[in-house]
Amino acid sequence: MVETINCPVCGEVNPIELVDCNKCGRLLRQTTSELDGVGELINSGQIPTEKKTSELEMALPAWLRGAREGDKDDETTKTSDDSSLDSLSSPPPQAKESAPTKAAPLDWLAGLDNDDDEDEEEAADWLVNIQDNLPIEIESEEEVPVGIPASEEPITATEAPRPSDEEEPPLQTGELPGWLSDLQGESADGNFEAMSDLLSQKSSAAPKDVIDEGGFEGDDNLDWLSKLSKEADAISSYEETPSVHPDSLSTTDPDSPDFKEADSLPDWMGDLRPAGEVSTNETSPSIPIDEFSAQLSGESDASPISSLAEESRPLITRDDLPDWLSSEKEASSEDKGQPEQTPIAASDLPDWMTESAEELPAEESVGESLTPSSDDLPDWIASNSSEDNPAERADQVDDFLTEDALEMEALTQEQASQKESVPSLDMAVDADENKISSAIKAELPDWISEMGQPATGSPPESTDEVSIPAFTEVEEPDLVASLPTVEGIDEEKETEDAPAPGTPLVEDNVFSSSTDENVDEIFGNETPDWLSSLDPTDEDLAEEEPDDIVPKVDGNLSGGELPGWVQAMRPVGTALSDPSAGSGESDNVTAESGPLAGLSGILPSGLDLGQINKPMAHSLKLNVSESQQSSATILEGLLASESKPGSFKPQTKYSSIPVVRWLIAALLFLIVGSSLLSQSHMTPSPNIVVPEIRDTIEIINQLPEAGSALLVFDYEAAFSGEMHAVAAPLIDHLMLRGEKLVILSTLPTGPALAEHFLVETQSSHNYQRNDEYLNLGYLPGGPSGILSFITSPRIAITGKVDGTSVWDFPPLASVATLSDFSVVIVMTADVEKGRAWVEQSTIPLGETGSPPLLMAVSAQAEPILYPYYASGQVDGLVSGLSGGATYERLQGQSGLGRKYWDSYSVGLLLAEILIAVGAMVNLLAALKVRQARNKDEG
Amino acid sequence: MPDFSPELISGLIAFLLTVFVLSYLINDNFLFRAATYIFVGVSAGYVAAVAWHQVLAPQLLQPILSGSGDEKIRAYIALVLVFLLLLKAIPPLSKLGTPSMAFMVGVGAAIAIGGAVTGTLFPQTLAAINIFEFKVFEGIVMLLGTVSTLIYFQFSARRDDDGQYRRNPIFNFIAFIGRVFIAITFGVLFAGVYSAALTALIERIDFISTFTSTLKTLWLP
Repeated sequence: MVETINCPVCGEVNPIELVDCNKCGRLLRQTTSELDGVGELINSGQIPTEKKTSELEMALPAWLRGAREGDKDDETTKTSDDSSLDSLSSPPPQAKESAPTKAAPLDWLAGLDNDDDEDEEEAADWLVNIQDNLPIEIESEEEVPVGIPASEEPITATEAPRPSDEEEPPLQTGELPGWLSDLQGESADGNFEAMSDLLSQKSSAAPKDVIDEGGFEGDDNLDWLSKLSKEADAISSYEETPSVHPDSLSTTDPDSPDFKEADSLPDWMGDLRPAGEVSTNETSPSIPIDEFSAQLSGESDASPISSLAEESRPLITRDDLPDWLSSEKEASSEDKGQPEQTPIAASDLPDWMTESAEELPAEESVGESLTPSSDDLPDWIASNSSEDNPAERADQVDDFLTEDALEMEALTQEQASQKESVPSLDMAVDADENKISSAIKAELPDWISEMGQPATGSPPESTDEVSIPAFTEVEEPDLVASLPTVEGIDEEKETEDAPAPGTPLVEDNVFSSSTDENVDEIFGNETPDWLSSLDPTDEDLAEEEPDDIVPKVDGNLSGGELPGWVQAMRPVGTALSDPSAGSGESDNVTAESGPLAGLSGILPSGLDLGQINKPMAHSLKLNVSESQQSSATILEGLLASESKPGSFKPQTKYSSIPVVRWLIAALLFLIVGSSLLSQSHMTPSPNIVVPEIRDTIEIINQLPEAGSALLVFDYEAAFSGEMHAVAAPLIDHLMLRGEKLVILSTLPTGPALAEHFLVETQSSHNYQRNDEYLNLGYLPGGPSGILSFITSPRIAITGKVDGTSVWDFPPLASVATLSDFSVVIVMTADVEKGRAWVEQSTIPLGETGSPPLLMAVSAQAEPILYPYYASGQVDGLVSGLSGGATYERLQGQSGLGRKYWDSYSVGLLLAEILIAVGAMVNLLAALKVRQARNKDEG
Repeated sequence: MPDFSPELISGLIAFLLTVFVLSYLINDNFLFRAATYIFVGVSAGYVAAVAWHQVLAPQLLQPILSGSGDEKIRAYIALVLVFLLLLKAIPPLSKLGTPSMAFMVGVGAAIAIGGAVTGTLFPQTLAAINIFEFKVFEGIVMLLGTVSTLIYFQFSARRDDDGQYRRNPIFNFIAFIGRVFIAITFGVLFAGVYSAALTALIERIDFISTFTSTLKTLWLP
C-alpha cells in the first residue's frame, strides 16, 4: 500500500515521497528547517537564524498568503462584504507592507482610494437637495479640488497614512479626520445614490439601494461628502490647515491624474463656477459653512464670501451651478452678463431635498442637470432671491459656491492628513461649523446644522472651512418634510439656534422609521465614535447660529441630541447622561477649591454629592443588657479563678526508708533464723496423713525390685531448696527400694539440678552414674518432646555417653517404651510443666499395666495440680514442705523436712499474725474514715 | 591457709550472690543487679552449651555426618527448617522462615489442644460428675462455687427508676458468693506461694548459716 500524506493546506492526498503538494505547491511537511537551516533542528538556547520575511513567504499558510496577496493586488476593491459603521469608527489601519498605496484587507476600506475612476460623481444629496424638490445637477465628482496640496490628498483605505508635512493641529471639533474625508471610492453611482438616498427624505421613490443593500459601503458611503469637499475646495481657495472634511464633499483626489476640474464639484456646484476660474489645483481658502449659509441667505453682508471671492479666483463658473441656482443668476446675469447656468436635473437631487417632489425620479446618475424652480430653492436661497437684488444675490451665490467648493476640498485634504485619531462627527461638524457662514447656517436644517456643531471642545475660531457632516441618519419623510420651503426660510432663519452643545445630532426617532433596520445594516449597530461624539458645544457656533447652511429642519430631530443607541454607548455618568447639561457648561466650570482650583474646563461634579460631612460621632460604649453584664461577670470570675491556685491538701510524703519492709524482714530473719539454728523442734512434725501422701507411699512400696524409675526434674534453680525438702524423702524411699533411676528434664538446667539433688540429699545411697542412675539430659520440644518420649523413648533420646548409647546402660537395658518404667515421678514447681506431663501421659499411662504417675510439686503448684490427683490422673502427690515433712514422718526419717519444719511453722505463724494485724489495722482505718465521712455529711 | 577447694569457691560465690540478692531489702542496688545479671548470663551460657551438646550435635550434625540414610534425610529436613527459621532474624528474608514457624506453631498447637482436651477437659469433667455420686456436699459446694464465680463475672445491669444501674438482687447475692470463692482461691494461691518462698528463705538462711560455719571452721583455727 502506497503511503500517502495529506497536504496541510489544501488537503490533497499526495504520495509520501513528495515534498511539495501537487495541487497547491505548499510544503507537505511543516518543519522549522526554513528558520534555522535546512535539516537542522532548533536546539534550546540556539539563536535563531535571521531570515528575510520574503523568503518565508512560502511557509505561510495559503489563507494568509492569499490575504497578503489580496492586500497587494486589491487596489481597486470596491465592494466590501460587510461594511458597517464600525469601520467608520476606527481609522483605517496602517499599511504594514511597504506598499502604502495598496488597499488594506479590510473590505470597508477597499476602494477608498478610487478617486480617479469616476467621471461622474454624485453630489451630496443633502447638499444637492437643499431646495425642496429642486433637482440639482450634480457635478462630476472627479474634479480635483483646487488648492489642496499634494500632501493633503485624501488618504484611501488601502494607503498607509502619510505623515503630514506640517504639524497638524489636533483634530478640532467638528472636523472630520482625513480618513473619513477620504472615504471615497470608485463606487458605482448606485452606491453613492444609495447613500444619498439614505440621507434623503422618503418622499420620492428614492432608490434604497444602499439601504436595501444592507451595508454601508465604506468605499462609497461618503463619496458625496468627499465630493462636496472637493467641490467646496474647488470653489474657494483656502490656505489654512484643512480640517476634517467629509468625503462626500471631495470625491476626487486633486492630485490624481484623472482628476478633472469639472469632476471635483457636484454638478450643481459645477454649473455655478464662475468664468475664468483658475486651475483647480490651486489652493483656495474655503469659507465656513455658516458664512456660506449666511451668504446664501443674504443675512450677512457677505463680507466673508465676497472677501474670499475677491481674494481668490472663483472656481465655479456659472455654468457649473445647478439649474436652480443658475436660474437665479439668469435673472441677474442680464445685468452682469453672467453665463447661463446649467440646469440641474431633478434626478440628481437627494431625496431629502426632493421632499415635496415625490414624483421626481430617484436616479442614480450624476451630473444631470436640474432645472431648479423657485419652489425647489432652499428657503435661504429663495429668500435672498426674493428680497434682495437678484444680481447681487447671484453674485453671492457664485461666491458661495466657489468658496464652498474650495472649502470642501480643503476639508478633504484635511481628512487625508488625519491619522489615527478617531474621527468624531462632532469634531468634524464642529470644524465645518466654523466655516459656514452664519447666514447660511441659519437656513440649514437642524440636522445639518447640528452636524456641524462639535460635541466637545471649542472649535478653532480661525477655521473657515466649510464642514459638512459626513452623513446623518435621517428619517426620510421627516427630513424632507422638515426642509423649509423657500417662502418660509425667512421665518426660520432668525429663530434658528445653534444646537445646544451636547444635544444629539440626530434624534432617536429619526431612525424609527421602517428604514431603521436597513439603517442599522448600513451603519451597523455600533456608531463610530466620531459620530457619537457629535456634540456641538462650540461657543462660536452659538454665535454663528444664524449662518446655518441648511435651513432648520422640523421634525424629530432636536438640536444636539444624540440618538438613544448612541447615548447608550456613551460613558455612564450624570454629567454625560444629560445632554442638555452640555459639555459647554464644563467649559465654564472653574474649580474653586481642591487640587484643580483655578482651572477651567473641568468636569463638573454634577453628581451632586453634596457636602462631605464628618460622620456622626458614636459613643464607644457598648449597650450591654443586664443579662449580658451578668454573663460577663461570671466569665470574668471564671477567668480569675483559673489564675488562682486551688487549695489542696498536701500529700503525705512517703519516707524513702521502707520501715515496714525492714521490720517484717527483720522479724522473719529473726524468727526463722533462730528457729532454724536452734533446732528446738518446738513444733511437732505434721502427723495428719493426707491421702495423696499415703497413696504415694503405698505405690512406692509396691514397686518391683530392681526396676527403673523415671524421674523428671522440671523445676528451676530458685525452687531447689523447697524441692529438695519435698522430693528428698520420696527419692530416698525409692532408692531404698533398689530402684534404678533414669533422670530426664524438659528444662536445660534440669539435668544439673538433678545431679545436685542427688549429691545433696541422696549421697548416702552412693548411687553410681550410668550404673544405678542414668541422666538422659535435656529433652527438647516441650509438650511435643514429652509426647515424643512417651510414644517412643528410644527415638526421642539418642544420646551417647562415651560413645555408648544411653539405651545400652543398665538402667535402660530393659526399657523400650514408657510402660517399661516401674514408676514415673514428675518433680516440678511449675504448673504448666506438671500439666503437660499429666495431659500427655494420661492416655498412655491410663491403660492397664502402665506405670503409676507420681508427682512431687511445690506448694505453689499444689492448688492447680491437685485436681489431677483428685481425678485419678495422678496416682500420688507430695506437695510442699509439709508433704515432705509428712512423708518423712511416715517413713520415720529425719530430713530437711524436719529441719525446716520449725522455721516453716514459725514463719507461717508470723505471716498469719502479720496478716491479721494488717487486716485489723485496715479495718480500723476504714471505720475511722467512715466515721469522719459521716461526721462531714452530718 | 584454707584450702580453696572447688566446693569452697563455689560456696563462697553462692554465699556472696545470696547476700547480694538479700541486699534488695534495703533497696534496688548494684549488688542485686549484679547478682541478677550473673544469674542470667550463666544460665544463658549453660543453656547454650546444653543445647549444643544434647540437641544440635547428637540430633542434627551427627546424623548428617555419620548417620544412616533415613537419619540423614531427617537431619537434612531438620537442617533446612532450622536454616529457614534463622532467616526470621533478617527482615527482608523473614518471610522465608514462615514455613518453619508455621510447622512449629501448628505442631505445638495440635499437641496442646489434644492434651488439653484429652488430659484435662474430659477427665476433669468426668471427675466432677462422678463426685456427685459419692460426695454430694462437696459436689454441691463445688457446683456452687463454679456457678457463683461465673455469675460474679457477669456485669450486666438494669437501670432503676432513680437512674442508678443495679444488678438483679439474686444475681448480686450469687455474685457475692462467687466473690467469696474467688477470694478463697486467691488466698490459697497466695498461701502456696508464701509457703514456697518461706521454704526458699529458710533454705537460704540455712545455707548461709552453714557456709558461715564452714568458713569459720576453715579460717579460724
